[in-house]
Amino acid sequence: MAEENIVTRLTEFFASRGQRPIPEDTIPTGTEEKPDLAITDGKTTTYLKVFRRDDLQARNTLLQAALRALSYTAVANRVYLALPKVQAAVLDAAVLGEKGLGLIVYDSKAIEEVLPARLFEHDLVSARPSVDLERLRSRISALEQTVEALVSELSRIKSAKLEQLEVKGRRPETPAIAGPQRSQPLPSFLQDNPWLNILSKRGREPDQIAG
Amino acid sequence: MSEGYKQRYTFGMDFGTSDFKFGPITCGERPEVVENRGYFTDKTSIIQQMSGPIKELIVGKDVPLYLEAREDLSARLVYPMRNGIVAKDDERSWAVVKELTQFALEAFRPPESEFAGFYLVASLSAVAPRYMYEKLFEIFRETSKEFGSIRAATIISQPFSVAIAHKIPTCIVIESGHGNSQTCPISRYPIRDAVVAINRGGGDGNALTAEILKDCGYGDLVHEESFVRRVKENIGLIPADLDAAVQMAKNDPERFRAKYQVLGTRITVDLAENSWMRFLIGEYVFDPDHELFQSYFSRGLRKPGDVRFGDTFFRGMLDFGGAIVEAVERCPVELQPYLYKQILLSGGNFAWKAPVELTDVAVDAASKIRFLLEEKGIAETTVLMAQNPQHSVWRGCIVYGYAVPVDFSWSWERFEGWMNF
Repeated sequence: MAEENIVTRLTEFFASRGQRPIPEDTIPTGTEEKPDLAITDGKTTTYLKVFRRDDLQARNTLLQAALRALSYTAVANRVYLALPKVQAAVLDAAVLGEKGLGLIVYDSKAIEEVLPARLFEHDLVSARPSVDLERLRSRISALEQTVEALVSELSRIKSAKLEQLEVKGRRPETPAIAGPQRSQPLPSFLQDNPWLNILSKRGREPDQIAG
Repeated sequence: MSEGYKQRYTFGMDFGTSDFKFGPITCGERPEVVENRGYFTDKTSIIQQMSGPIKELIVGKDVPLYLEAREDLSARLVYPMRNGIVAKDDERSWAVVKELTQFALEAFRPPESEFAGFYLVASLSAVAPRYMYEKLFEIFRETSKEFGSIRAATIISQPFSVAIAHKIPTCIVIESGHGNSQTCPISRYPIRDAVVAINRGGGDGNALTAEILKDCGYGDLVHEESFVRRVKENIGLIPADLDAAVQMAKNDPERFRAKYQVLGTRITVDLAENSWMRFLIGEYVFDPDHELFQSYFSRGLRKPGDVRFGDTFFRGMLDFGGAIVEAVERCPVELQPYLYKQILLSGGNFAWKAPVELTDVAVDAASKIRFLLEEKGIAETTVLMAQNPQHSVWRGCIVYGYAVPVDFSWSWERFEGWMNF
């Protein structure tokens, strides 16, 4: 429900800040693909890449799309990623902030700017494909650094997942109550709780009067 | 489904009288908390029509954004669990319960592709009748079908949950909320047949406080229950012995003076020479059967009566000590000494101040329960206040869901196990 009209809602969200949409056929090119929404306040331009829940089934998809969105900064003054609120947690906002990307989260009720986008100083004229070589070099360098950071993050996630699967493979089907099986420590109310042993035997002991 | 999966996706829900506490095991020590209420919007309202399509029922933190200053506000704002029980045919209350359930689960829907629904543990009042369990399972089944967010569910009683969270396998839990109180023996299982329910809670303390305020010249302020509750919490005291406390306070009113300035207002409540009345407030909650209360009953204070809700008979005038003794004596004789040894007090109605300078007269809730039991010849007791009372029911739900085997199916005889969807 929250996603069906998200582009319209985002348009209204920016309209309340005095920005209007740029017609699709006049969005400046210079990037591999057009943004999902482009808006302007007359002086600066803002591009948005909008994600829906189905877009985010695989983490790779998000990383690739975030990389493509970074290339918008060659043309737009500000670039935002717009994500469903429940899935925003998978993104490290610090990485986005470092690269100047902004983050907007949404659900069925509200749209919220979680991380403001950095202002990239260039105007529409200078942002044509004929942009000077130095700017392109610095953008490529920034992209390379981002790719390295994302590849490193991806390999960390993969290895953590493998560890989890290994633990899962070893885990017996009866409740292993004695200790934590998660990477983080168990909450205090679970630690040394005699009920864990009592409750883990439910259904495996002679019937008792439950009242 | 494996034990590992269930432990990763255990989800707790505590349907309290005022607040709804919820969240998965990954919340750690504290769940999310929203008020246990829903607001039915007015679709015919011009303002609502102008602001675009909105949902018919609003729950969660957004409720205040939709409230309108209307006379029918109280009819539109529904608190489904005010007394721990929802009537079978109260469709609006059940609609709120369903909306809150779905709101809570969607708020924590995990992104992992392996996710195939939570193992949900919900907690209801100890006096919730069987039809409430049936209705709640029906809501869970519909939610599972519609959203796939529940793999299996179970329902346990709130006192049982509190005992689990406090790591005590054999004890008596007294849960006292706004409308009523329950005394529940637990010995590895909740002993449902021994539950003693009392038709008295924090709301009755508020009612007596309102009468006292009227007597002291503050009758114009008592129509706001939240104000009366604040006065009760700030000036009410539990006497170790009511007669002795009243006598001392009448002899030395300045020492016991009850004065309360309402923060951010010009209102000051001062009981002055009537400050001895502050002891009536605390005593009334624990033991209303004292001759001093008779004059209030004769002037219109509602006397807590014996009533039946669902399958449960609620006693009006039974003191908390008597309720504990009656509950324990419904259990096997061999078990009784162990139950008296651990008494756990839970719920907002036990949060009373005992000022250091008045410790010779005023006591906390645990001490009062000890004194009431001593009067009945029970001396060997340990009475504890539940720590983190707001979160302990949810914590018990998480422990229960984490530990109970995935293949232990729901039994209507035992009121335990997983209902698979």
